[in-house]
Amino acid sequence: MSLFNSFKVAGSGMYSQTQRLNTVASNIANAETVANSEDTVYQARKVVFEAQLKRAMGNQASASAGVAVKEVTVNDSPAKKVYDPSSPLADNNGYVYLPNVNIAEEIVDMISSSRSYQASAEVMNTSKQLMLKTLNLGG
Amino acid sequence: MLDKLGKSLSFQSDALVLRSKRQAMITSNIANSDTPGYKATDVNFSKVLSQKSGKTAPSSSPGANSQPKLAMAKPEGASSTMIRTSSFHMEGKPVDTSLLAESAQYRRGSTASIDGNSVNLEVERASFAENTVKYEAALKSLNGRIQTLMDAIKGNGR
Repeated sequence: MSLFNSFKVAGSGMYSQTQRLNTVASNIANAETVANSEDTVYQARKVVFEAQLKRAMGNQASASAGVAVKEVTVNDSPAKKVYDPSSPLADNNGYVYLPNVNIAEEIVDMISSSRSYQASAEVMNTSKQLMLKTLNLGG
Repeated sequence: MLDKLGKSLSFQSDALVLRSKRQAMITSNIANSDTPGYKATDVNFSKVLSQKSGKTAPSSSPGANSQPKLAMAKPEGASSTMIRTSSFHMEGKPVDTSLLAESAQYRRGSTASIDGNSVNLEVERASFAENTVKYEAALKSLNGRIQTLMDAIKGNGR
């Protein structure tokens, strides 16, 4: 029954969006994490999604595809360099390094992600109602 | 006799199966609304249903037929047949699910974003709502048919 398939696909969407939200949370939480060199400073992370045609449809021929996180990419743009000689983490020249996290970008990502999550949750709810009605068929 | 009863319900049940397949298809469009390179798919419902039930479509729009077909491979072992262990068993026909997958088409008219994703969430949600209502309509029609048969079986007196 392909309404079960709807559950699987919507579930995969919700799970993937949760992982996206996780990376956003991690980026925002670490936005102020200073480090004493450019190599050790936190770098913003981003998830990349991928359609999963095979896994969602199992053994049946169907054009529905779930979604999964393909990879987590790391933003390798340069870290922000701030002059702060009083910091215990300052390097020899008195500089500390701040992550390349762009808060505005992260918030936008968060909103987009939560909207997508809501859409998937709604789909799941509707599918559930349809299924319950189908169970009552002929009754 | 039983076969005729089954046949009288087959159109509605076919419609129901195809509706639920389309539901899954639109669900995957919504789930993949952030997937780079994903292309939204949909089906020409009346065409697939008329193919399945062996009737000609009342009037299909000419534009819909010229849409590019989505090539989709049929996985091996997808068809399942019922095994009869006694000659008294009724013949079971396997549900043909391949038709919808074969006739899946890319949705046209939506501009793809820079990552190649062509899902328009508003369109998809509208289609989803439409399909939900039509699924319920098919359900209702099937229910009505069953009710009619039940009335005929029970007779007026009950």
